[in-house]
Amino acid sequence: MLSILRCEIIKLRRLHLEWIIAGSALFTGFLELSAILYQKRNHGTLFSWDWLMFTNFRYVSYLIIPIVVSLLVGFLIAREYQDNTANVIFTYRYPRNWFLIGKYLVIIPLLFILILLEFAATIGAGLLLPGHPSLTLAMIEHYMRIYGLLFLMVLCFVPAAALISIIFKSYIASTIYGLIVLISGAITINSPTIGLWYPWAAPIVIISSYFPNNPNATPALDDWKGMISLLLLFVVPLLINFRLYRRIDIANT
Amino acid sequence: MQTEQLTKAYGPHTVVDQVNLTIQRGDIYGFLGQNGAGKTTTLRMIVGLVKPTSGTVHLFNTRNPKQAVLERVGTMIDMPGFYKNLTVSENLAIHCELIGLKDPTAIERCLHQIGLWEARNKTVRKLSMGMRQRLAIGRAIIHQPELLLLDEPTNGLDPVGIREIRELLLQLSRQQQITLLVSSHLLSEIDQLATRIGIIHHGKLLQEIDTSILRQRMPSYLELKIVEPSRTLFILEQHLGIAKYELSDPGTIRLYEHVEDSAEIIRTLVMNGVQVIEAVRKNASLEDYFIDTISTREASYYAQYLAL
Repeated sequence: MLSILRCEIIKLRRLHLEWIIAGSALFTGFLELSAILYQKRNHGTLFSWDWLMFTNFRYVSYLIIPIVVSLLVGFLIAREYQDNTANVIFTYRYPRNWFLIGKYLVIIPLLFILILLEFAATIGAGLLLPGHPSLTLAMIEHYMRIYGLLFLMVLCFVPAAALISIIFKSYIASTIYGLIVLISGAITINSPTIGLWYPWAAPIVIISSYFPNNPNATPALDDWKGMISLLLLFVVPLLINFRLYRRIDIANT
Repeated sequence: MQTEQLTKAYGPHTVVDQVNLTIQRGDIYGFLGQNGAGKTTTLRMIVGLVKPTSGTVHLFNTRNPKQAVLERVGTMIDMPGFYKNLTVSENLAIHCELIGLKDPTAIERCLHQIGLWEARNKTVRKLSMGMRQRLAIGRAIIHQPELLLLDEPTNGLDPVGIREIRELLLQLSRQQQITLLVSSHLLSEIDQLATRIGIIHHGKLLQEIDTSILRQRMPSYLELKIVEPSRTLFILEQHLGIAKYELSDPGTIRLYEHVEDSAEIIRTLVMNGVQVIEAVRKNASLEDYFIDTISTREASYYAQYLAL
């Protein structure tokens, strides 16, 4: 397994995935700044940390995550088919699923870096603005916990994007899937009761309740519904992926 | 290596139909067939990329070989795939890591052998088609396999590249005693390389034969280049009693009878006023044999179809 992991890391060289991740953080930073300026012009106030983090969290959850996850996962999995390298890797001594696990293991730190960068960029941007409200260590710890939870929930999105890539053997298909998730997420974002049962919107609805002044917060008692839908989104495609990856014919792609 | 009744069907469409291949140690086996005949699917089934609908594969006396056995095989199936963002050396390093090859000199040795040492730090994206093809062969041979399966190894190469690959394969066979299975639709290439051939057509293996036996069976013929074909044919039929001939190009006639009497044939033609531009005694080529084999098959197929 270590050999596979080493090779998966080597395969990332010169792919410039860092640009996708950094670009995402910059994009949300830009949206953030626009929101702050809008807030100042219309309400006269600069921002509160809760408001800033909640705005960023929403942008990241329903705008950035679906696209970046589907793009990264799709690229790492589908490129083996699109570049015909599946012809070679599946003749090695390892069970096919080990390669899939290797790819999952590489995706985890990439997503971690993405969330971490989004978090750091938001805090950094807030601190750079003159006259920003004070930020205590307890607040940072609270927001870190929220983003940590978001990271764990985002991992549940990976198998479904992988499934699309394995079936269609194309990262374009996976990206289209990401767009569909984005649009459906935007539709359900303001309907917490529906959103809890809709796994792609569940993290937004669940984590929203951790922001004290959020008008769309759902009672914590209902979080289990969202957890179940997320769990299903993780487990079902994961099992199908392992079965498909093991059995699928590597014919002409 | 042997396959027994190897079959692959996608729904009602059978692409490989009960194929029984037999390859002995040391063979250079030319696997011939038109595009879409089932060559690549057969190779994919042998190395486990495609699951057979039925039938078995025997490799090194192991039935339906698992990955451990496949490590004794070098493969190049279809268009060779590489990580284009990685260099030539990095691609080989990944291969060595995954195949468990620990020899630190292997990559350098291989790159010298395939003539890509100078390009070792180039990303695959920047390689020409021919260089990629050579790299694919390098990847297949770096671990010194006992059996090499190559699917259309000369695809996309220029004549010089084709010759280089042919010489490399002959060298591998002679010096390292590697058994080769080379699939191709380029008959002239197989003709110069193979010691045994198998012809696949519409998924069925029509024939397996040693090239030494094949050459004995191939008929020799006299090829005449003349000015007046109709007049020549009349003389051949009426004066010489030759009925087995073929008018290929305008002005070219192949005679399959009385070939040993070529001097007499030419003399008779000249005596009757026919201008013979060229007369050459030839042996039928692999191409002739291949076309003849698949044509016979087509004819019997349509005969069966019409009888139904």
